Amino acid sequence: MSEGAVTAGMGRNDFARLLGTMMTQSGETFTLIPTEELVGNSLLPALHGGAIASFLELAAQLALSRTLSPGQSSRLISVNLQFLAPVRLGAISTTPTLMRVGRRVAVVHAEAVERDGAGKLCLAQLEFALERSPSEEKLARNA
Amino acid sequence: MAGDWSLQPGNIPWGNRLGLELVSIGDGLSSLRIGWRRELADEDEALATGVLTSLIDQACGVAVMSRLGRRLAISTLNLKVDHVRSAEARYSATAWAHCYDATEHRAFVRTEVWDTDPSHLIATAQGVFSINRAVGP
Repeated sequence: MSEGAVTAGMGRNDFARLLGTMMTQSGETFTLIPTEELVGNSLLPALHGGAIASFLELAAQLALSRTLSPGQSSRLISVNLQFLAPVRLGAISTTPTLMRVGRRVAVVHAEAVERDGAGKLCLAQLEFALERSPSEEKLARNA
Repeated sequence: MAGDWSLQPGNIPWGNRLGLELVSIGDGLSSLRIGWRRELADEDEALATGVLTSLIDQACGVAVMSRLGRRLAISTLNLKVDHVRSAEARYSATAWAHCYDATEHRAFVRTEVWDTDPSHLIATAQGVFSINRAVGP
C-alpha cells in the first residue's frame, strides 16, 4: 500500500478520521506525522501522552480490523501504556502485533518507535471487545 | 494550595486542540472537562476512547501539580485505562483525578471519568508519573 493519509474504513468515526489525517500507512506500519498540535510538553518539546495513546489505539484497531469479518466491530476495553522515553517532536511509527484474536476479545500490542532510529518510546497493550452485527451473530449460532 | 489556579498548565497544544477545560484544582485533586464535538466522537456519537485517555492523562498531570503545589515538568511513566462503558451520545465527559501519594521523583494518580452523572462511570485509570523539575518561578 502506498503511503498516504489514513482515511479508509473509518466510516462515521470522526475522531478516527481526524487522527487519520495526522497519520500515514505503509504496509502494516503506521506513522504519526509530527505537528505542533500533538505536543503535551512545550518545554522539551514532547508529544502529549494522550496523543500517543490515541495514535497507538487507532493503529491497533486498524490492524485488528483487517482480520475481522465485515459485520464485526471492535471496541476498546482497556489500554495499558508503558512509556520508555520522552516522545520528542519527531515522526513515530508502530507496526501492531495481534497477540490473540478470540471470539469475544482480541489483544493487540503496539510499540511506538522513532521512525528514523531504533529508539523504543512507548509500549501499549490493548484489549478489544469484538462485537458482531445481529445477522453475523445468527450465522455464528447456526454454524 | 487549594484552588490555586496559577497551577494550571499553560500551553498544552494537544489539550487545547481537543478543548480540555480545567474545572477545579486543589489538595491533590483536579477536575477537567471536555465538551462534546462531532470531530471528537466515534461512530456512535460518543466521545472517542482516545479522547478520554487524553483527558485522563492531562487530569493526572494537573492533580500531581496540585499535590506538590508548584508547576512541574511531568511525564507519564505508565497509565492503565479501563473503558467501563461507552459515553452517552453527545455528552461531555468530566475527569476527577486524585494524586494520592508522591515521592521526590514519582507521583501516583487514580482517575475516574463520568458523563451524565458522577455515579455513571465511563472510564477509570491508574498511573505513575515522573516528576522531572520545577517550571518557572
